[in-house]
Amino acid sequence: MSELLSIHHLSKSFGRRPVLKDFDLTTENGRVYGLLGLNGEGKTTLARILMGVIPSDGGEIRFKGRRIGFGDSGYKRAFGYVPEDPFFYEDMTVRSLLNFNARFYPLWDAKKASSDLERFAIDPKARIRTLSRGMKLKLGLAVALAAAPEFLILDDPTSGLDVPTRQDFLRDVIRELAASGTTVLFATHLVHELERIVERLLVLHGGRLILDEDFETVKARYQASLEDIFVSLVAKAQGGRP
Amino acid sequence: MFIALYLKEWKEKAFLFFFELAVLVLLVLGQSFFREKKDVREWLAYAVLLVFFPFAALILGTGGFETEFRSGAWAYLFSRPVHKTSIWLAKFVAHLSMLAALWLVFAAAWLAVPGISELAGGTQVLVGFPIGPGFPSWAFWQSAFLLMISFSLSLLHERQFSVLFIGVFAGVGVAAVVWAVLNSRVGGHLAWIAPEKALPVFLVGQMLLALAFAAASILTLVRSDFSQPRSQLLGFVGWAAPLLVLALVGTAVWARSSPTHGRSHLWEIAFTGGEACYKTDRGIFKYSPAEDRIQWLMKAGPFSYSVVSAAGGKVAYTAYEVRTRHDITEKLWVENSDGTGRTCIIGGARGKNHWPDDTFIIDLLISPDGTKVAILSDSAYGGHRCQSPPLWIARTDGTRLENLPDDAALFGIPHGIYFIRFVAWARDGNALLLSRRESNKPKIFTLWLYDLESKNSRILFENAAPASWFPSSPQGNLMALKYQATPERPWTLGLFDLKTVELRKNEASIDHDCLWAFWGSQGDRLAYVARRPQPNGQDVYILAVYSLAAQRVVAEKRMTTSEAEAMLFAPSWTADGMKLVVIDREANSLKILGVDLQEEGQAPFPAWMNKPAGLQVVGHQALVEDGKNNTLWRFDLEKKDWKRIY
Amino acid sequence: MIRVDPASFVPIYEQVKQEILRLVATGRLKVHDPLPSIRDLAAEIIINPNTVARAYRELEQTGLISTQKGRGSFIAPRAGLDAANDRKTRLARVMDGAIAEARKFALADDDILKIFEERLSKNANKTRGGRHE
Repeated sequence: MSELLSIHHLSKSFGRRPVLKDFDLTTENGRVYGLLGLNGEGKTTLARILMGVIPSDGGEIRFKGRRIGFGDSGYKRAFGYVPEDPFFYEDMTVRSLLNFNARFYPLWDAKKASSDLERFAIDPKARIRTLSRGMKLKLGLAVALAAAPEFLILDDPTSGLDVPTRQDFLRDVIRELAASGTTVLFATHLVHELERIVERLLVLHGGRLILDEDFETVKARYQASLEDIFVSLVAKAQGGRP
Repeated sequence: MFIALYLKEWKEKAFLFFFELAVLVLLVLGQSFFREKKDVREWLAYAVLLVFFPFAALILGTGGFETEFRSGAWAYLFSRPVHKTSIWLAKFVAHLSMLAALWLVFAAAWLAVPGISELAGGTQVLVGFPIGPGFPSWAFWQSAFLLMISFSLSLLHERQFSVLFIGVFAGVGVAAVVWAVLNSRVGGHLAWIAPEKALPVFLVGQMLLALAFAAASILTLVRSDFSQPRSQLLGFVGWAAPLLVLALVGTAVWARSSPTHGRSHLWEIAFTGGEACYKTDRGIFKYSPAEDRIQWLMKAGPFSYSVVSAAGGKVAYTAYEVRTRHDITEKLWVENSDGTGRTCIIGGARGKNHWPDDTFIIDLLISPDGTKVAILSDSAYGGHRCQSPPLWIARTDGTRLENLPDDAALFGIPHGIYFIRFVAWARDGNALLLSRRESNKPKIFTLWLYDLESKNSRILFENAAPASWFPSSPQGNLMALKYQATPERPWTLGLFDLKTVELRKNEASIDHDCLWAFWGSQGDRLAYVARRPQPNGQDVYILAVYSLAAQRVVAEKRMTTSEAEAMLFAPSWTADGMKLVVIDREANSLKILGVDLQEEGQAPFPAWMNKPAGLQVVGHQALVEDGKNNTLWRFDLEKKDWKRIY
Repeated sequence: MIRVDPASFVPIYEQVKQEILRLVATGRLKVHDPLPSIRDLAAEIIINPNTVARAYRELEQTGLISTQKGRGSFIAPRAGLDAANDRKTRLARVMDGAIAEARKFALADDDILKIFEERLSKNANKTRGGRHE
């Protein structure tokens, strides 16, 4: 197992409010990491910092041993990103979005992208504005996966969607996992989905990880469902503070 | 990648672009529609250049990051593997090409539709400043400038029109401030920017300003957090402030150091015996060997033509006081050569000395003892000679300004055909020698005498020529004069006695074929350049020294066969009279010669010097003018080092 | 067919193994029947493919399934045996319980046997040929 992404002492504040504080994480190749955290705890901030959308206030991030910073762009070729809120150019058509992306990723698989679109029943000529939230999500995943990423970041993409859509989404992720062994960082507050696929459990609270262990170990120790584990961890962490 | 970003911009802005294109086409078509009404067409042409293009550029620019702000797509774009600098550049280039496309359409119309070019092309005047290449180039430059500024600002705020209005107000405000300053008294004192340079300096300033904004914008994009508008704005200000200062400094440096083209001659015109004064189109300065630097006596304004004279330890010069561009008064100042005792003789407190309105000074001459100054006004050429005759005398302490009566013989000449200048004071301050020359024969003059007691004039000499820049000897008793014994003969050098106002008997003919002469500082010898024809038909030019004490030529040295070089020797004596410094361009150095003209030393010219011409020794410094670059260098004869002082 | 409960304390891979064994035990899966590919099974029940892979691996280690390169995984003969043994074991356990109950009522062995035969013939019609889950 080789180290893929390592984060040390990452910090980020918005104004005077610290969101991430001394955040450390090391990920290995090919595993599914589940990042649990309440809303507003910093999951999206972490994802954005990793994707170079916003700068961090301090700390170091290394991808495959090489340091990456806000200004670097090359490492992003190996990353896929599906965020919580759809953030595409609303006036673009689906096809032009794919063509646009194809120029940036050397490993872009256009056939895979268009077959995914067919499977999701998304019309390539449709403007993104006209797609439903669920279809935008699937489109986002299709775009992310067509680039054959080594590291896939899912930032709570399924919250607010109905169960069948969520299950479809998860299935597609699983298919991808089975096919290419992508490393996945799945940040969410929906524990039920996470329980099915997570291998390494991360719990984010107070700006840093209060848990970073193999899921099975945790489950065996607590002998409880993930939801209960999460609630008790957060309560303990909050209770520890004055 | 870049192309993908570039094309995306075009697709997003297509609607806006075609809308602007339609407006432009309508305005242009109006030219042929209103074929008959010239004033409407002119208005339309100006509307396109001065209203449409600036606003088109502003609207294009402020919409630079609009689609990214909408629906949060900036996060999407920034998460792609592409440098943010490339994003910025691709966007900017796309917007610039949209503007360029509009300009191409206009250019096509310019060529195809007759009449536009005659309306708006050529030199135009915009709020009082001449725009040389015409409105189209001006509008082109300004629209590119506005685009760059508004685009650089557009990433700061998502509300496009807020940026637009703030930008417009700021721009108009700054322009108004600049215009008010330039038209005020302060602006008049910015005389060290020559008028020919005002426009280039402005354009350079604009360019640096735009680059500063662009750099600040790129740095903000690459370093700041797009999700926090306030901290992004602070970041931008933090980058922009020092860059703007840098831009201003750069503009000032450029204004200072870039060569001034045009009328920038270095005219050495006065020598007070310790310092040399130079007149340039920037003003008048004197070189002080004690401090080894130049001091400005007076800085020229945009409309000035100054005159200066120095003798007897005093310097007189004219200066212009500019209150506004239409309210300019001329002043005559006299000060001691060490800079003290500055007095205003003319133009000072009202009523002190009466000087007629709309009359300007064209020549000055201080008497050798420094007590009086002769003034020649421009009514020497004009029709109002009768109301105020051109000749005036004043005491250098500012008193006794006296207008001498007119002399029809001397001054009664048609306007513009003759030049009149002072030559020397004579008869111990009781007479003035003036030269009059025809404008088509500038090398020959007629020497006139104006008697200050009898107040009339007569011709002393016809077909004379100046023998030197300073024909009078330092003591003021003799004058070197060139004349032709008969027409077609070579120029004879003679000494003219200023007391008796006639040629000295024994020294009427020092040399038969003289080119130029230079007095030694003691007044006891004269160095001159003369021509010697050789048996083989070629001419040789020699340097010779005439000693007044011995009343003969005491040294002669063959210098060159080139007349052009000979004309530029400009021998100048050191203060102790022991050495003669000469420009030897064939040897590319200064030559230092002894009293008998043997070579005692030489100083090669510095590499920067392009065309040495004009030499004056002051103290132990030799001042050499560079005729090509319009600069002044000084060579220290003791320390043997060169320094550029102007 | 295979159902897992992520919330249960039992690790998912363990649940998958047990489900497979249950299918074999109930005859739904017979020896030499193919198992779905890891990818298909993971996608179907929506769990991590690695979990499925682990379950298959452990089943293979104990010889209950066999994997052939390029052809997939199949139920191994031993599974059938085990299943059979398994059935006998389960039934034996059930019977032990019934016998223990009967002894509480102080019934003689002959009486227990008589009741058993009676019940067997009563239920014969119901269960013959039927499938039960």
